[in-house]
Amino acid sequence: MMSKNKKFKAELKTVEDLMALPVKLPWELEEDILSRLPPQSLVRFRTLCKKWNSLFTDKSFLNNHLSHSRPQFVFLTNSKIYSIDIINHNSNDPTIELHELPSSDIPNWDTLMNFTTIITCDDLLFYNFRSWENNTALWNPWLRQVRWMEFEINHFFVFGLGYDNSRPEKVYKILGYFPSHRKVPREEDQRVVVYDCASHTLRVIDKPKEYWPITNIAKKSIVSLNGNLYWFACNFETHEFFIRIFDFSRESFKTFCPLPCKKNYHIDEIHLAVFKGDRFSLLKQSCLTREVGIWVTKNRISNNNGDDGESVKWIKLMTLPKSYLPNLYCKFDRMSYFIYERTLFMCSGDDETGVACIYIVREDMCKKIQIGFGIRKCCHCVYTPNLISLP
Amino acid sequence: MSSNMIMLKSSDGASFEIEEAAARKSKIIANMIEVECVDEDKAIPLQNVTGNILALVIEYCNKHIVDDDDDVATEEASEEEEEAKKKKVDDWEAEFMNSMSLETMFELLLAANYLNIKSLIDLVCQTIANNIKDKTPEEVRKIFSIENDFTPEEEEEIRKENAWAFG
Repeated sequence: MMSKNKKFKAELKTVEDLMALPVKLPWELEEDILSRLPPQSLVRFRTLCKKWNSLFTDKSFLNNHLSHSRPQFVFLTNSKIYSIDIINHNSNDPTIELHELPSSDIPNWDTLMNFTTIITCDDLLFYNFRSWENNTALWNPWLRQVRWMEFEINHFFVFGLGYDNSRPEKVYKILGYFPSHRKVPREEDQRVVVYDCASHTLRVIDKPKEYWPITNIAKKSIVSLNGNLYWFACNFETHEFFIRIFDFSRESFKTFCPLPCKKNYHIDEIHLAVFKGDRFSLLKQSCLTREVGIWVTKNRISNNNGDDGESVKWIKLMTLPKSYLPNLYCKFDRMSYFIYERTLFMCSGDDETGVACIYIVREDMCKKIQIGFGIRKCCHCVYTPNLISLP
Repeated sequence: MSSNMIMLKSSDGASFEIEEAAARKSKIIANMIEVECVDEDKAIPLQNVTGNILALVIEYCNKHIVDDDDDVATEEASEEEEEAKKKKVDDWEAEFMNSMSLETMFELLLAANYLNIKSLIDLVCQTIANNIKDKTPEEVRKIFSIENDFTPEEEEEIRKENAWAFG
């Protein structure tokens, strides 16, 4: 594709040289083409004419655009924000393209990258920086929209974002907690709360009778699907890991399903992600052999809010030799990944230098691409870019 | 499986023989076959498609009938086989579009639209999108023969608001 682009550019040297094509397309075909452009191109083409500009308020066009959009990485360094597109993802030579996004909308994140997390909930980015400073926002970088949350109470820790999927309108809610402030934290002091982003109200909810239902370690594995939150939890009696769900429609915690593989207590690395938009993938790196196994759920995860966890079937998608991927164990920064058509795309620090890289890996191929000029401090997540306005 | 052959005639008078199963990729032709009982000896005239473009459409349809038949025959094909097959089609499509000029793509898109071949419309639209994504607004305006209906002030304002995307 690269060579083709070059050839194409060579054909059309300057705008003056460029003859208008003798073919004029009807509007519905123009619209179809535009719905397949990356967001930054569409934003640039707003200046073309009023009709193209008006697409930014056309709901059905924006949904179409989202349906054609493919996952990529959003990547924050301590001064800049980038999107990392995957180019020629299914060819024999996939590569990446870095685009700088406007960063002035998110101020003051540069001092403590380690306290910043960005997660996604459907088409939204959810930004959370040092929970005790109230710097939490819904965010669409391509539209330069940021909606800051103002919690009236301090020391509110954000866990994740979701919505009640039994209601026609999405009303976003934050699951969070007030930690125990004793010298030796006590589980019974932790209070779990739900914050309603529309009415700006905070409500303490019932906690399950389990040991630390919400922890910072759990927050690292959190994934949003169908409006609910999923993460890894451990049964402290049997030492078995499983997936737990928080269902926003009933505001309750539940055990969802067991893992497809055994996790060696606390030392194997496991990571959950959304696969094909409505399923899960699970990546496990064995701490002993460093071999990586990837499983996916056979069917879509229904939005029954965790009632059908027993019927979840996992299939093994691939096994990757240890030489392909860096050591994921005990890395300070979190890795992020997604599976697209039997290929693993992963953003993580490199073993030798810690420099952030994109790994593109299949069973018979491994490509490692350094991001920019050796970035070490960063924060990233997988996101499907779109131009849908914040609620 | 039917191996009936039918004839298609382009706007500039060229005739093409094509398997009925391939021609049925076009919803319009499929409809003609069903409703109007196409005469086997008579070519279907396609007023809006020239011979060189029709040749491309037929090449595409021929390549894609096989895949559709497979779908019906082996519903239980493993996911792996499915993916291998998809990869093969993807590679063929990339090659098919690779040497095409933008003008040909536009004509092919109009033909696919007229003949109502959804998968070909998707393929060509995506290829055009990949081609124009890094271009300047001026270049794209010319390619699509679009008249700028903004005043210079309005245009400048939108450009200013979205300066980051022009980098």
